[in-house]
Amino acid sequence: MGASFISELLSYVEAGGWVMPPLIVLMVVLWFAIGYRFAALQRGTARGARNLLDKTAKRLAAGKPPKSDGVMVRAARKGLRLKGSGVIELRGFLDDAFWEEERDIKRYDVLIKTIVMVAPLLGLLGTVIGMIETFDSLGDMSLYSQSGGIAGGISQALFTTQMGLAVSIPGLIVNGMLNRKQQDMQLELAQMKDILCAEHTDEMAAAGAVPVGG
Amino acid sequence: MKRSTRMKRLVSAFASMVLGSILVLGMVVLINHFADGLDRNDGDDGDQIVFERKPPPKKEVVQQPKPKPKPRRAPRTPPPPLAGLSGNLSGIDFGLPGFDMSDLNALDGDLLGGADSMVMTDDTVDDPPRATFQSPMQYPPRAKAQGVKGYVVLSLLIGVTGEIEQIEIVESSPEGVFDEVAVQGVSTWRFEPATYQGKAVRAWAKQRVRFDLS
Repeated sequence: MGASFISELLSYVEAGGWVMPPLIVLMVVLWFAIGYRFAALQRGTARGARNLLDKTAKRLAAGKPPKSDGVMVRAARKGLRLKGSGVIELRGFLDDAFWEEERDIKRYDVLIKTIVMVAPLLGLLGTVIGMIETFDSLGDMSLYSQSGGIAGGISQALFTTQMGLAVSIPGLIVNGMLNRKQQDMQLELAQMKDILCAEHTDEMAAAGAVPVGG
Repeated sequence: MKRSTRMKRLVSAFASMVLGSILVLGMVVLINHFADGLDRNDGDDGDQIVFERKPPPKKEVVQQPKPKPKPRRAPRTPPPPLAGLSGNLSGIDFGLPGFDMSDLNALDGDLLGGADSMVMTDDTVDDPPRATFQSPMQYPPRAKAQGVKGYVVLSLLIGVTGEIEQIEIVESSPEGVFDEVAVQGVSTWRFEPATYQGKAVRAWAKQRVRFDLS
């Protein structure tokens, strides 16, 4: 089973011409990026932003270690520490501190999108090359030669398109799901910032330190 | 970012890389496997059809009275030609310029760009090109030592004067052993050009060169 699978695969790669190796490399890179992104987009908690901030504040006060290393948990701890340090312009500091998390959840996003778009185009390129070979063989009458000829050209044309689409379609679906997750998390990070700033302003006003507006 | 987090992401990325690649390649192989399966005929079912032939039922011979011969119609005479049709038309001016058929032949050469640039094949010419001089070829020493036999099928483009303009290897068995010798040998041959409608034309011809130890 395994050996026949590999030999069949090799025959397709050979039939597809030089477009096939780049396509396979693209496929490997694509799935590497998807796996990385999947791991990076772990929230670490199922709680909403407000709830999470409350719980994290308690854990920080008790001196306990974080429950997980998810993005939201890390951001909450950072934000609370910043608020506790008593800076005045809290929002600017939060933007700065959350930058790392925001970069984390966006990492490889563009790469995946690019590969998903480029793979079918590479397949199309292979198709055109195969068609050129076909017409060449019509021109010089080597229709049924061992290498190439009509059959070789057409099979190259079809296999490359097929491979391009096969690489692209699953990547497109999975990336759609990951994108949704990323957008949710970006929204929640922004929400967390708002909550922290609002609490901070209240506390400052209560202490009478600065006028409202931070 | 902590070391353990980074490791977790990398492990996830590599796992997804392997699984995703297997998924995509498996999909491609599976699709093509089933596509092949459509053409394949196992021959298990429906390879034998037995016809039961019943003897045709005997016709009862009924003596019927002979039908009366139909009354013959008198053969119709063709309608008399319209008298004076050409006479009627001759007075009408169609506004057509005179049309001289003798110009058509003169057009022939220009319209198709002359027969010189045309390339024909074995099947389309009246007389295929024939070899007038065939020099013996040297058997490749290594193949001779190993007792290898084989053949090479060449496609030759023979010009109007009988010279070889192009040589393509269409098929060879075993691949690559006799190719060079065959091409070199054939290029010294002389040919009589193919003729089409009495004129020499360029044409592709197939030439099979057999290498036999005897």
